[in-house]
Amino acid sequence: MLCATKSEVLDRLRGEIRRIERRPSLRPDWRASGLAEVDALLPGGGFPCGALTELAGGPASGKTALALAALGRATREGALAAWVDGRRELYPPAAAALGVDLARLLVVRRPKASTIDLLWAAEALLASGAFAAVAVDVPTAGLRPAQWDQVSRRLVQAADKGGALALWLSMPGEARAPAAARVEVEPPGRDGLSRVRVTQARGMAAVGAAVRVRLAVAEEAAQAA
Amino acid sequence: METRLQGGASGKVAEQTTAAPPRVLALHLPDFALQRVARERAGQDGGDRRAPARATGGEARPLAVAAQGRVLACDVAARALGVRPGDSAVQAAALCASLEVVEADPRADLAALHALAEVLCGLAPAVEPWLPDVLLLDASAAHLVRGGSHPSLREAERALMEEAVAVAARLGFRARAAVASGRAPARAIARFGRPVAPSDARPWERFPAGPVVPPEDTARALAPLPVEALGLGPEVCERLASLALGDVASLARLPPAALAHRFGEAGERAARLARGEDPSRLVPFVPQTLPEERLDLEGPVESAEPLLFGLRRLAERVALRLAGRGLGATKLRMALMLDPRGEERVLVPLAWPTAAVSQWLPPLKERVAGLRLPAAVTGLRLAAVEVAEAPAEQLALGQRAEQVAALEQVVARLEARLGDGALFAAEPKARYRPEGAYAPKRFGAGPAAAKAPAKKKRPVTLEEPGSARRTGGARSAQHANDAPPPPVRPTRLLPKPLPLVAEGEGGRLTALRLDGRAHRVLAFAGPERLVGEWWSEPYARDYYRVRLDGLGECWIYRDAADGRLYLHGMFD
Repeated sequence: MLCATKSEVLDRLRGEIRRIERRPSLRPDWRASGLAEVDALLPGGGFPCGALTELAGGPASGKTALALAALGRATREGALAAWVDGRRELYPPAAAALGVDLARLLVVRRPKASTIDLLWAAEALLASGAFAAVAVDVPTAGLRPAQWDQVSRRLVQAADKGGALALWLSMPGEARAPAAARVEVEPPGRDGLSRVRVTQARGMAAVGAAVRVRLAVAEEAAQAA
Repeated sequence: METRLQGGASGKVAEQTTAAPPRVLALHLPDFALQRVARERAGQDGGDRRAPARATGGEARPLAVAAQGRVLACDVAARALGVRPGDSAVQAAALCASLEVVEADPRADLAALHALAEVLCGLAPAVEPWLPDVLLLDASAAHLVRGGSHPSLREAERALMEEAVAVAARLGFRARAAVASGRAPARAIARFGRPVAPSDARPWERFPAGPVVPPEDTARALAPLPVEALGLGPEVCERLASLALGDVASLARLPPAALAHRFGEAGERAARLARGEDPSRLVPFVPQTLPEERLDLEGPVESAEPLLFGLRRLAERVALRLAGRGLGATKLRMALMLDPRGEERVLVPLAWPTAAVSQWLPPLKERVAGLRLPAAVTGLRLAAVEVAEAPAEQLALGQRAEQVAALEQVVARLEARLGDGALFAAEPKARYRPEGAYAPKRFGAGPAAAKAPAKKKRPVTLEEPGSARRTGGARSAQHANDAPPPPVRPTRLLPKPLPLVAEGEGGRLTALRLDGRAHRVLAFAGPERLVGEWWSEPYARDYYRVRLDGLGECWIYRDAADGRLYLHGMFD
């Protein structure tokens, strides 16, 4: 209990410092995902802004839909979002169906770009302060551990500087990101529901809480639009 | 690829004898050839427009421009040593051993005059070059300068004149100006008028930038000027001088009929101009090519900082010229001239059409920083090679100015590093082929696209294999008008579909093998038949949404062309 209070105090102080330093104070400290069941698992009622949140899961687990739900909410509020599409798989029509305003979504995709170039782009987008939410979907298999350590630290610093909601999408077997929050998504079972589990979150007392939710079709997002 | 614009700059004048003379601002650029050379030679000192210091003793060498062995113009340093326009180049060299004589280049002078005209197009409805060293601006819209709200029309014209002189100064040119009624009178007063002592100045002569002559005072303003000020031609002026008609006042006193009788049409025109009557309209200048600016460096340069400084100055000039035409650049070409020969060209795409230097500089800096040149650089050129109309508002961002600036900068940086086409916003397309259902477009270009309507989704219930009933019947995409709500699409679409191997048991699909690993089928729905584009690239696919154990929901199709199953997307 005492630790959770201390973390909350630290988070509030970070927000105050950000405001004093004239960072985009219009941005909140938390941003809801758009799925009430998932938001209920997270302290603050959403993903933290200005910090990295890792969404981990297999290729058809539902983590992309979760990320798009959060980005869609940001774009519907009039803000800009970005998707660094290192795997070149993002399908914009599905993003639109999940409530994303495509005119406000910048997609970064380059077939021959190196991993380092894409991660540099992610860092630049996060640090710019121009985007309310940035999702980074870049495979890191080719990076050496030392390279990944350096790159991931820079991403964390960039997220802190820009104040955006930073979502890191990772696949099984890929290096873990130094994230403030980690959400694992398991593919749906027979009932069509994905299991979403928060395994790490700053200021969260009950790490490991999980919920089953339908992710591939975010009806809540569709209705809210 | 250079874009050429249609149109032409004509020297012809259409006279309208009944209309009142238009209000014209004339901008005279004295010793224009000399100014042009000095401006191009301007080095890295940040502002000195004179010829830069040479290696000899660190002092600027006197400069003169000559043609056919005769001095056309010389700078203050050369005049102080006795050099005068009209001297032979040999004579001038004898007077001043350190004199630098540059051969005149009328083509370069014309290009520089046109460049300035382009920039001034942003100040007036029409601009007309009057060779070799005058630009005429239509002053009819002077009341709009500086946001309007001028106390009088004369004050508005004065503001226009000051703006035009300031623009010329920004581009490195010294200018004298005058506003008057009529093309020829305005030019004559700007080019041949002389400063008047304050005690003798008439009200319209008291502005620092130049006189603003009221229509009723045109003849009075022209009176003391020499007859060649009226632009009559050397032969007519010589004949008038032989009759002791040396100034405009004496010409105006002569009966018009007498001048017409003696000199014909030229005399008739001289009589009208002497009285300040010139109703001819400006012939607007239309740029033929896209702007390009050049800068010669003082000496070979090997470091980035002086290159960036020079590029910044070129960018300001090119941007001003584009802004005057209401255009923004979407691609720049930077050329670095190498020592002793050769050049390195670099194309720099921009995120969206813009004439804002602040948005050009970050990608230019990125490119310069990444260059590995084989030799030192002796000169720079910068050109806008692709342009488009710069829209007034790119995107209704609803954000603060600094956030908009941050967005423009980061997009420009990413474009510079990742290349053209790496950044885009998706635009939905009305195509049934899944991979054609969207197309990339420039992010932020134009008003925000209408959001794809949020479709109320009927949750698709996947049936377990072997059940008797299937949800979602086969339907052709060509008969969609009375179809049920559009089905859900996967959040991930593979760039290239992956072949699958189906495993079955007793006629039921039980597993799908992907990359050598079998995944048990938990449920599926379909087929959704997508067929079309028979006129170009025909396709016929039956799509299924399949839930695979340990993997999740996938979008697969059977291709009618080869009968095989492919994994096309994932509901991630």
